[in-house]
Amino acid sequence: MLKLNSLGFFFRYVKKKNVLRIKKFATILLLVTVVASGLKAQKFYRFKAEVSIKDKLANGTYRLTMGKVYYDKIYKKVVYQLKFPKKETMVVQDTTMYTLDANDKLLNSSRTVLIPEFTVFHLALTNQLSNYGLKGGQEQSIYKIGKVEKTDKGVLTTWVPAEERLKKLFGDIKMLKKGKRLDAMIFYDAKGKIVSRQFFKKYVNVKGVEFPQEVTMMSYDFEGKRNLQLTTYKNIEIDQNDEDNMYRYRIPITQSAGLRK
Amino acid sequence: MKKLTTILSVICLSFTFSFAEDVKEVYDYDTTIEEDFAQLNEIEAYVNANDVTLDKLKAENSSLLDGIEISNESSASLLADELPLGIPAFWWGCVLTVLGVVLVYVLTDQDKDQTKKALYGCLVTGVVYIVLALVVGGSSRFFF
Repeated sequence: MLKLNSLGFFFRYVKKKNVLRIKKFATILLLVTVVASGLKAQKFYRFKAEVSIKDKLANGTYRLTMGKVYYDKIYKKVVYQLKFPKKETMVVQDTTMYTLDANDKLLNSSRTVLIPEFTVFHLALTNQLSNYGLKGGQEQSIYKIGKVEKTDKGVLTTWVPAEERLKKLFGDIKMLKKGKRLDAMIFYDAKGKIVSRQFFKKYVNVKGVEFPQEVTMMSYDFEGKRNLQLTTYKNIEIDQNDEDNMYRYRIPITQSAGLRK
Repeated sequence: MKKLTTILSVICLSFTFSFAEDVKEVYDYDTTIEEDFAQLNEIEAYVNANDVTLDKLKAENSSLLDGIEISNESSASLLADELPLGIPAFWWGCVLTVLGVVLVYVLTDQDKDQTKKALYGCLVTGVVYIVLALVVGGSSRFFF
């Protein structure tokens, strides 16, 4: 009888100890899960920077564009508040670009192929800049990976049009990655000639968002003459809390209706 | 629709494209580019310090503008007001047929003239296709 009581006590003791252990383990597991999911859920939504775009065109003329750029992933608007060459604001929304003067008067609205979701700002915020958004999700992509090579300069990926009929219109895109960062891209036309080269330099990491502070683009005209563009970004801010009016910039609807082409 | 969006993304990547001859595939960054913008760098520094527009700079008769022709327009990369790749609407319709017409319609913000041109391109492809089909069909009958 005594032996049985001792055994019962022993089992109760072991059970109690196990329950404590399980509780401790569960608590740790819960904490780890919460922290991990929190990290995974870290999503960036706003980008702001001082921007300067310098162009040297093939005809010998120059362009200098300076100001600030605001982008909010939720509002899907790219807002350029420029101070040079003119004080004006340019807002890209859907496929339309609105130009407003310093007094917020709408001067012009025109179509544009600059789509907010495919700008470097959106790609950086959504961690897609390293493949320039070419790596499609579940949907059918226009480009697919043709070849991957390991070179002394980095990993070189050749993207080719996914369908035969698209090859009549689009050429290959070659992408050089150094580490996890996009370093250079070369665009070809459908005949296999280089039409543009882009370089992404001076990366910074702001709150976990990798962004190149210097983007250089060289495009070439019929005679092979070079158009040069150097875009620099400074004072990059991610997920800024104030200046909400800039991120959601409201276009005067009555004026925009009148100016729309 | 998603496919269309994907196409638009590539178009967006390439809207500044033009056509080139014999440009070498080089991945090394050409540091001499910085020299091309030396004068613009000086103007940039001055604008940052004094907050002036180009018109003001011209009015000041600034020596910063000596020997350089600066456009009063913002960068073309912001303005991008042309059809992608500079390809006329007709050819968009001609090569991509119905898809090309839809693309032109969307990209030109429902511009009727451009869409009509794309439609003509699409129709030309259709007519050529029918003529070829008739010729091939006719010649095969002739031989057999």
